[in-house]
Amino acid sequence: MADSRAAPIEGIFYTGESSQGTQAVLDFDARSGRVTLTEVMTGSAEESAALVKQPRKKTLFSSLLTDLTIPPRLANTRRRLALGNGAAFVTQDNDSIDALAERVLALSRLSVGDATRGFSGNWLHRLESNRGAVAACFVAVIVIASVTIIYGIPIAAKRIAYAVPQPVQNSMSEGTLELLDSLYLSPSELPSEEQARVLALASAAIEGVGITSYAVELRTGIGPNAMALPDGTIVITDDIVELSANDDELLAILYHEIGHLQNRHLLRRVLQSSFVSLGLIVMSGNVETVDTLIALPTFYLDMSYTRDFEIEADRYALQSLKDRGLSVDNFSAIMNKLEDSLSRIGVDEDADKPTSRASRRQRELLKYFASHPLTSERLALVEEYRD
Amino acid sequence: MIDDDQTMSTPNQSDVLIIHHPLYFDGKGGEYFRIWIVNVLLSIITLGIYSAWATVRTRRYFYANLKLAGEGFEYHAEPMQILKGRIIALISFTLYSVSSALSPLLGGIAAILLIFAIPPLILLSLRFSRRNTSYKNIRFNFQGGWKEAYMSILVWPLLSLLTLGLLFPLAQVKLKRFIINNSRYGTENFVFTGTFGDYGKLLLLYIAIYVAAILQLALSLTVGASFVGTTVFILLIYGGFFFIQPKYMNLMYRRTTLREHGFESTYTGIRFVWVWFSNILFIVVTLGLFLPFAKVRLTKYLTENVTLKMKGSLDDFTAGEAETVSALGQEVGTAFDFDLGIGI
Repeated sequence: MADSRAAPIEGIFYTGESSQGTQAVLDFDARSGRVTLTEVMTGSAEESAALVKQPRKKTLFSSLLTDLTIPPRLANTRRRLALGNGAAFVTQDNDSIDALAERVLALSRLSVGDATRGFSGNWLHRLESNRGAVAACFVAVIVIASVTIIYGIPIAAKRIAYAVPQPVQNSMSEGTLELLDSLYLSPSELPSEEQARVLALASAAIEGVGITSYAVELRTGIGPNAMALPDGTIVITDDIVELSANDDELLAILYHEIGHLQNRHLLRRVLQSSFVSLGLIVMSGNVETVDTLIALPTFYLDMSYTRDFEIEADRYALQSLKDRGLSVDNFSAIMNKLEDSLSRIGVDEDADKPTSRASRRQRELLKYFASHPLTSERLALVEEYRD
Repeated sequence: MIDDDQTMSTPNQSDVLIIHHPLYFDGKGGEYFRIWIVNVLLSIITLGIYSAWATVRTRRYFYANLKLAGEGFEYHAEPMQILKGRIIALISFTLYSVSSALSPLLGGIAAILLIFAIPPLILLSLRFSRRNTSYKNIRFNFQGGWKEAYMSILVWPLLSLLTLGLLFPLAQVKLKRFIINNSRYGTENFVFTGTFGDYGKLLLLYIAIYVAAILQLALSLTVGASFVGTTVFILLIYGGFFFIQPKYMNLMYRRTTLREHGFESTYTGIRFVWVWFSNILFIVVTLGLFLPFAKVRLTKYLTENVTLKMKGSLDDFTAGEAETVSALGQEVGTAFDFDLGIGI
């Protein structure tokens, strides 16, 4: 390109008034710094022959190159040069446009402050068309995503959860027990002296932890189950009381639920799912909520995070039993019984997800999709706390 | 790839000659993957801020590669507009999640507010996407008003619910009329001529399949073949959906005209099922890395089944007057923008 005239660029000129395009060539004259668009006559061979004899070249547009806005390159899609008043020149000749853009850059360097509308650069295109750079981006994305999912989100959620004041946490479960009562639960059917005994046991356990705001409620209706609401309410069902052979087994369950409360699991779970959804929305640039592609990973990650919480609650329960000089076998005993009743009834311990009646082998396969760690895994955990 | 050239060679002969121009998509999975992975990385590094620029770059790529009669579409939105829309949407989303997590009552109120916000949001989004799309340097536009938006998006579906689905076909016609008749290319409006009868027939087909599914389930349960019965039931329900859904898409295109030009559409259930499910499967297996390829595949499928029946020429459309919309409205609309909402 030592020549002052760059090679003409072929394309289509649009006036901005109609959808009719005109075949045109764009010429750049370095001496005057002007670009000129000239019409190219097309038509049948006969017409072309006539043209050769009588060449009529109509100038469609002319301006200083520095007045043009040259859009950055995007793969090999056509470039549209806006010519003002809606007029445009569209061309597939990306390489020539890039060469022209380089000239704009050079010119704008010469006349500082003059080229406010100049060329914004092709750095993205250079990145995208470089194999090594693309591979590096790929690796970086994988590493950052993994670290964020495994460490970033759980740690951030934990920090935030412990900073949330208790009244806000209480309001999270406002009306939840009433809602559960109206939908699934009914008052305990245990004899009143048995109820009093369980409540006394629970109160003692709670006092032992040193938090007075926790309270235990007895209910029936959802099989053997226990749950903890963020305001400190622990719900225990009749079935689970009947399932436990002694008070120590019931304590194991209670400590597990207290573990959920002490570690603010529900709040952390809500925060973590929100972070995952937000992250995916930001990354995919998609806000449509009913999108399988976002719902699916959110669901799996939620399941996996929930398993971590269950393990944390298990550890809390086991440590509490150990601290009070009780045998950790109580924990494994009640977990085994829960597992057995589960496979009979086909209902998960927390009754929030129905479990399939699949065989143990299938359950083994499905363990990454289950919110509760399998009992065999729990039993291994118990061994850790055995003296 | 569809060869467009032979159909191009017969212009100016007669005004009644109909030339079929298939829409086609020139994008390539590998090419888009490079754009995508750079977009994702820059979005992560900038904590999501770059996602607005990423969206514009992605759309520009998809629109430019979507071609009709040899010419591509163009996307003109500015990233800053989209970024502002996203920030507003993000704040609303956070307020909504927090309020519904904190109190069921607040959550309920927010949900009701959201329902009433949907029609204007769809309206703004349609306006934004149409106005920022052009073909042959002529912009599309959307001229629907608030009242019509509420009627067709909220009131008519509610009426069809209250009449136990009797008015459902009419609600569908109203919605399509709202979306299509208010869309313009330059100064020409698209026209939708679908009727209650068209949608009624499809609804009857749906009902027939559902009734058949339920009857055979009841029958097989009484003879004790519950496994076969349930399997066939599920197949019929899902099969019915994928059998009829493409018919709705075909109906929409075939009943749409732009001045003297019409559309043909050839979606089929079996192809749709294949593209959709294989995409999901590959995305899951590759932990999301197939996403850009899936998007290209789906776009190819969605575009290459639509044909413009050109009567005369596409050269005589004139540009509408440039309209300015309130910046805030337009920006909120962008956050709820549909991907590739071109033309129709």
